[in-house]
Amino acid sequence: MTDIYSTELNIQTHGVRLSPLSMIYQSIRQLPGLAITFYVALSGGSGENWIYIVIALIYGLFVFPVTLLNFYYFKYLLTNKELVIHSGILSKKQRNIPLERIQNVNITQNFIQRIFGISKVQIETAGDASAEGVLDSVKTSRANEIKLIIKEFQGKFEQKKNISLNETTNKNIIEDDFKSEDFTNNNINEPNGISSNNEEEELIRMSVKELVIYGFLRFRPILFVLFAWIYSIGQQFMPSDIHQLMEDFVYDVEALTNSLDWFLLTIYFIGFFIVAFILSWLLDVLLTVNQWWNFRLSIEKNKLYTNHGLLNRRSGTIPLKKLQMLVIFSNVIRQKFGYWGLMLETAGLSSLENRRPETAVPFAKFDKVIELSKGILNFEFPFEFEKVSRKTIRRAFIRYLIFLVIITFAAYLFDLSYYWFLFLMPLLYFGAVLRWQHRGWQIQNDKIIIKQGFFSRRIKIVPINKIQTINVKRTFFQRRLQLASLHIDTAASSGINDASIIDIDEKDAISLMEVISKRFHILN
Amino acid sequence: MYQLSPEIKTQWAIAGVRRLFFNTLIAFLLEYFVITEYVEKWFFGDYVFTFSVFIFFLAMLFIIPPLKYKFWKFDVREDEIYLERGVFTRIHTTAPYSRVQHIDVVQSILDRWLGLGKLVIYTAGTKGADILIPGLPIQYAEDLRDRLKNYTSEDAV
Repeated sequence: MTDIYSTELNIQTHGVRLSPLSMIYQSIRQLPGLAITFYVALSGGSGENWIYIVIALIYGLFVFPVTLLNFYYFKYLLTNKELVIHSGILSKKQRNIPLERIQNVNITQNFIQRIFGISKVQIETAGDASAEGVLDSVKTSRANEIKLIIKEFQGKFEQKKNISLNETTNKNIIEDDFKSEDFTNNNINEPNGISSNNEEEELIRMSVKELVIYGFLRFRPILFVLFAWIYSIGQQFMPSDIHQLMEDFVYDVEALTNSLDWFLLTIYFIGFFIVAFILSWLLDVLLTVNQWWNFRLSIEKNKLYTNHGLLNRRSGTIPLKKLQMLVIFSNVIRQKFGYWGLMLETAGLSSLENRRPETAVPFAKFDKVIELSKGILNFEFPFEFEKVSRKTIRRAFIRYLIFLVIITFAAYLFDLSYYWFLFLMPLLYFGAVLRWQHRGWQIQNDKIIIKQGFFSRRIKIVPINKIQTINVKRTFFQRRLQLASLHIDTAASSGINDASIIDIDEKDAISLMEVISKRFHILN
Repeated sequence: MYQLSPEIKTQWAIAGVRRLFFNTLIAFLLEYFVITEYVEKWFFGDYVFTFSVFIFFLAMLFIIPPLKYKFWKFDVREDEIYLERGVFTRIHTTAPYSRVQHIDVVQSILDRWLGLGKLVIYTAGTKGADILIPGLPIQYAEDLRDRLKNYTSEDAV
């Protein structure tokens, strides 16, 4: 294969196919579907068996040749200007991706791919979804090479661009009161904060011990699902007389009260509950360990690189120049132990996929997270926030109450005991107060910092020069209380983290909007 | 602060008529096929539900357009565009010109009939990112587009 590569960087001159192993990999991926079709065909008891068999045969006759042809007609060509991808069996497609427009090269490997030593290479460009490219299975060494070539090209390209910029204008030297120097600004060559040499430098590595602690403190909502799953499995192993008792309990309460040992039964159920909880907790720890195994974060030339995973290895690139928002997150339990994480929202990468914000640090001590964040965006961590209006407690309480009334009404309709729902009322008020207490905001020179959440805690830092639009919204109910919400829209593509200050005084919101927009114009 | 062209009220009213017929039809189907079939103790007489939906949207037809018109304001400032709108939920928006990615003038059939146009300003933002100013006299909309075009930047993220 090496003869078609022209230089030492292995730039190709002819289009090449993916690794032949990709055929095997793709076929393996088809197997579950095939197995299901054949299973249906062979077990479909009635006299119409032949229909299923025909379907299964068509499936088999069709899918495997398509896999082969797809492999045969898929060719890619990496030149020193662009990446060209030819694909399609009947309708041909050619896609040219200029190298300077590539934002991100992601290499992922799932379990099967790891066995074969192949990787999936995803090429992401800014904005334009039609210019994305996926190389489904290439040899892992070749995948890394592709990444290297693109990185190298972009390094040269940036240099050229900078030289021509400096020659023509002195645009970069704008000094003003608000501007602080950091990675997101354009002068790539001299950022302060984290040192960004041109060589890859490791910023964070997660130890196994830390990883296990993370698993134990994670408490994701998925825990409920795991618990329900384990609980339902466990029920099958219950002694049958207890099963009978439970059924009796539903239909005939007296039969139960008169029968066996209440004490033993209670112990049994509590024990079962605790065991199921511990098992689901441990399972979540295992999932966490698998997901974040050997987590590494490194920086090279203004880009962060992450790498993690045990069975499925994932590597990601975060271009800091495209950074829109920085999110420091934790939950109520993790915060008690002083652990936080860091997510970064970047702009407009692969708008086709449902993109999630990149996790730069899943779990680390507060000081470490803050130190790293300060290197990325120059800001002071505020220990005092401006509070939102107290009236928000009232609004939240009423909203929770409406929800409670609906549930109570449903319980009433289904003849369940519904009175006890009303005891939740003080708890809801307490919840509304907590919600208010954990909301806050602050404006610092060129950053907006917004804090929210009691259970899941988030602190969002938005650079003012990244703002797209600013909105002040007042719903009918907010207007009655002279409240407003300020929504700051950035190009952050995930849509999970929105920068909003909810329920502040109407007049404050309007003047805040003006202040922010003034600073925006000074900064840009 | 500028207001929209008053003809926009006619357009909103026509959209209101469409909504009136559509919602009345939905209400009728709901009542005919679902409520009378499955709900045993329905509190109202025959077609009272459909009729009240009809009356509600008929009233809206006369109430909403003037209010919407009253609250719709925009301002073309030195370095940003500013909008105020909304009857029930009131929204103020500022969009700096340097964030504009591209600008369209859109004319529907109704617009053409009334000599109006919509100005659509696209930004790279994700939530409510596209800014739409309806009901501008078409000549004004096109002039505004040409004026704002000079500010658009390709790399606005």
